[in-house]
Amino acid sequence: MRPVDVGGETDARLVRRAREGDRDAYERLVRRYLKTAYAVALAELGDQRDAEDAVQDSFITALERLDDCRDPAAFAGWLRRIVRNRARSVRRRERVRETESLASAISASSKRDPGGDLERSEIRRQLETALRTLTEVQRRVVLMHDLEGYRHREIAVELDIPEGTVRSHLFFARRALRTQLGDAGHRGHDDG
Amino acid sequence: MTMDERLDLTALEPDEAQRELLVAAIMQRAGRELERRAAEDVSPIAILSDWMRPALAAAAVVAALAVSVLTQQELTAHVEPGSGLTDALAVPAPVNEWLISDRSPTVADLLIAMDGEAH
Repeated sequence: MRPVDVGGETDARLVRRAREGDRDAYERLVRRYLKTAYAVALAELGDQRDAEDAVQDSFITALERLDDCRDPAAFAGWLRRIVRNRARSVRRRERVRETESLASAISASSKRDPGGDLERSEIRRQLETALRTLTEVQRRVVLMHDLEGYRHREIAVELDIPEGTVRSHLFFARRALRTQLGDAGHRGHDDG
Repeated sequence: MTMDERLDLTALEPDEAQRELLVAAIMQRAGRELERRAAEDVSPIAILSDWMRPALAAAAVVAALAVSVLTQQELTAHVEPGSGLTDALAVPAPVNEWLISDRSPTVADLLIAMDGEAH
């Protein structure tokens, strides 16, 4: 899992502080891993709102079980497993969303740039629809690579599959997404 | 365009406003647990309980070692005939012999015994 901030306190130190109830430390862990936790949940669920719920629940579960994290330096991997398990649980239950939708909160505050937000929402909707056409492993590979910035080798280790298989999944996932989206507006940069 | 080009999936990421809302929601829900941890961390009982588990573990190890050593010593200890209770009670050697042989002392035995005690 890729941390967002760099050069700050180590995960191990933040985990130890959070175990003692340090609010600032836990918030920094949340901010550090929010983006990638979200990507993991989205890869499993394919839906923004469900992913947001799963991320929230996962961070609360992680805090409650923080004493079970035997290696605080490996917090990221431990959190990733919690997020994935939570997302799978959500998917199994297909529970009805009862809490206030984050999206409605956003749309209520979108008066600052209605056009930009609407455009972004439309692109996201298209992307989510397209992602749902992929297999689970294709979705995970393409999100890890193109959204989280993982390298092929890192994905292979994380998913426990050969590196060649990762490349193959990435190729077919991109082709399927481009076909669905018609290329426009989703072109990125070449792989490094 | 080739399939080696990354797709721009950044639209899937929460934007800044969404991120802040998510962080706020998480931290609000985390408040109670963080408060519990903070309160637990400073209470004397919590400090003692932190020590209790390793102390009990250490005591268990010491007890296991002690039992092991005592058992080993008991198995290998040489037991002297006639030793034990009579030694502990400081019974004179001649009396001990009478006890072992299960016979009554004669007058001569008593005189010898008294003479030995006198010296």
